[in-house]
Amino acid sequence: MQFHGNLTEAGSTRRVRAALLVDEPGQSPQTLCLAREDDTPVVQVSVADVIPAIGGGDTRLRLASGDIFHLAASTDSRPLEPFFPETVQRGAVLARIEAVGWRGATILAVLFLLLIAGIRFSIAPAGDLLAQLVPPHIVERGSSMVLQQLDTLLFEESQLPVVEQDRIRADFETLLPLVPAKFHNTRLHFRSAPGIGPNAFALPGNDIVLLDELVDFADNDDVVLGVLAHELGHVVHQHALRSVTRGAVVAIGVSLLVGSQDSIFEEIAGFGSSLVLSRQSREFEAEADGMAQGWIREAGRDKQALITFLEKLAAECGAMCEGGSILDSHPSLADRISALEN
Amino acid sequence: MTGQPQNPFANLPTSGQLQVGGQGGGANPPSGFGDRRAINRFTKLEFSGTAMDLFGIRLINIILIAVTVGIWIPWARVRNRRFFYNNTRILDDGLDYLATGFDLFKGWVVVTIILLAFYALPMLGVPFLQEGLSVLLLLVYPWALNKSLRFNARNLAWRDVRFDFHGSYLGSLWNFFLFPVIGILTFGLLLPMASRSMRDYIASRYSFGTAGFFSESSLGAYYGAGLKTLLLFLALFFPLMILLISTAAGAIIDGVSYAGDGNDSSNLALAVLNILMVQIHPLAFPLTLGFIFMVTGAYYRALTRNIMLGSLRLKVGVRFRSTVSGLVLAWIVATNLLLVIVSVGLLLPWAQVRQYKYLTENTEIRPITELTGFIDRQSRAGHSVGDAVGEAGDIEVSF
Ligand SMILES: [Zn+2]
Repeated sequence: MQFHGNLTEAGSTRRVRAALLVDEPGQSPQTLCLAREDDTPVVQVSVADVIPAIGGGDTRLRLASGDIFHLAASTDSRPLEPFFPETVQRGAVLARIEAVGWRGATILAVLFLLLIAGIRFSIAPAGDLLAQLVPPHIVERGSSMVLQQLDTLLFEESQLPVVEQDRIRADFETLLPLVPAKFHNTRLHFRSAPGIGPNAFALPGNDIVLLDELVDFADNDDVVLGVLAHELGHVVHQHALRSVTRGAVVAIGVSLLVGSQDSIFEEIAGFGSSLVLSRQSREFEAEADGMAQGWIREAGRDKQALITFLEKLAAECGAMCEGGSILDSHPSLADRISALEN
Repeated sequence: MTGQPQNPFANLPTSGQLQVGGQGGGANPPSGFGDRRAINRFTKLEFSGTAMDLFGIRLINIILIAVTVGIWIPWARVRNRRFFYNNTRILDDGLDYLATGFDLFKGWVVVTIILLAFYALPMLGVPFLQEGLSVLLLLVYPWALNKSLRFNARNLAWRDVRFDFHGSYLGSLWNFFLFPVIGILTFGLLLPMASRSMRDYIASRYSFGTAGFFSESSLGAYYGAGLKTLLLFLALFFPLMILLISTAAGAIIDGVSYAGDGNDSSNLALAVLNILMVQIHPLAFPLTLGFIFMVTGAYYRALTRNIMLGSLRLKVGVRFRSTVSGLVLAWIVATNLLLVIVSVGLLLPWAQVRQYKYLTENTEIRPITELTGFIDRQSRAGHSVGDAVGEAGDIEVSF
């Protein structure tokens, strides 16, 4: 058999037409010979290294002499494979698997779409499972680190008088007996952040941060308690931790799909997955609102307060907050108010 | 000479007579047979890969990455790059990508360790440690970029001669980071100057074996490209903005009439429009702007690519030409983006091959002699200890 290609002299761009010969008339069995176009005698050669062809490219064989033999892509190189070093034979197998036909491509395309759907619908369960697997002391440690980071970057010390802090804390502690024992040690931190505005946060562990700006804006203990109950809802359902682990699952999915390439489509995939995540975080908000209403009722406090607060917030910031779009992490205030009223 | 078969070329007319029509006789010196036709004329590069090939490679990669929980990623990247390089044919010969997945894996391990240290060190509680490390990481970036460009150049060979990249730290810092930022800060006024500086810098720092590339393009040409791009931007920006604003205005009018009377049938259409607006509006502006930037960016890249390749020289004699049309490239980029999104990524291989093939096949090379005289720098320079250490330490450092 003759395998035609080009022979490039080692370390140069000089090349000549050549052929590798196997089992030709007069050739010793199990030998590989090289014939060159330029009349030099046929010599026996051995292959030192191979880069298998990929797509319509050439197979690159480095001979023991250092010269390079390029084998045209259309050539079936299988009869040459016994002469290849063992390590490269696997690569050749891989290249053959990749050469799918239309039928194979269709099957793979269906698998691909199933995979995308699978990733999409396993984000929530897989992320939540991951959250369960994280040991509680790691979560606590992470939570206090997040608070530390926020303290250096964003937060200032609370300016609230100690009396007021104590009153709010005492109020908050009336809610704790209502939640599962695991969350009885939920800590309330007072901070100030003029840049952020009226807000409160639930951290991945049993930590809630209340900003002075929210206390000023609410101007009413029942409202503050309603907001704290909402954040306690986030804590009890471990929403912060679950968003982190769900985000990790998304990151794994994205790197699975586009990890093999260097392209901007990584960013596009990231954008798509942030849409999915933001929808889930809206579900979290609704869940926290629901929990909060239940506890407030059980504690015998003003159920209307949170609704009033949200209405005030809606009136204050007008159309800016009236997003409810697919990008917003919170559902529109109107949606939340009507959900709470029912 | 027992056991040696007959030379199959002995009975055939030489390829010189078949292909070139000039090269006679038996004892030919080794020569580049395809090259003769190309002397003193522009020959297009070719791309021999198909979307179907890439589709197979990509899907097998995904499966292998999943099975190996991500370890396969470096090997997957190598297969991906090999597909594009190997099928890029310059005067019939494809480029060989010599790096292995393990080479990329080493770089990946180094980067992972650095990043882990970056995130873990603040746990020690030293004040300003992370800020200091951030600055350090930023300063390391030009070095890492040089390292990656060099790694990839050195692992790319045509026939048996490798490319190389000799970037300097300050040169990369200036051309890749500082100058573009200055260009943006001057409201784009200096951006064409920055593009020219960057493109000429990259080109002049590459070499092929012992031969260097060289490019010194005209500044005026870059400003011409910038002006055309600005015009295209305005031509796309204004109609789209008018559309958005009128949609918003329609919704406000709808709100008024809705309050007035509830069951007019024309109000139903307006209500639907209103819902669409409320759902889409917050996204519409940034997405439209991003889309316009992508399209005009492709247009600008095409024009500046033409300028740079037009002035590129290899070892004085070899010239290049790029005949990419800015509008065609912009169209390809825009339609690719839409098709990839609509097909949730399924058509990505097709889109990438389409764009790469267009760029490759609109690139031309024009040698003045046969391209047989190039010599690989590394093999001719001998193997000094420095070389060995340098090559062993060659890794791709990309963040
Ligand atoms: Zn919330």
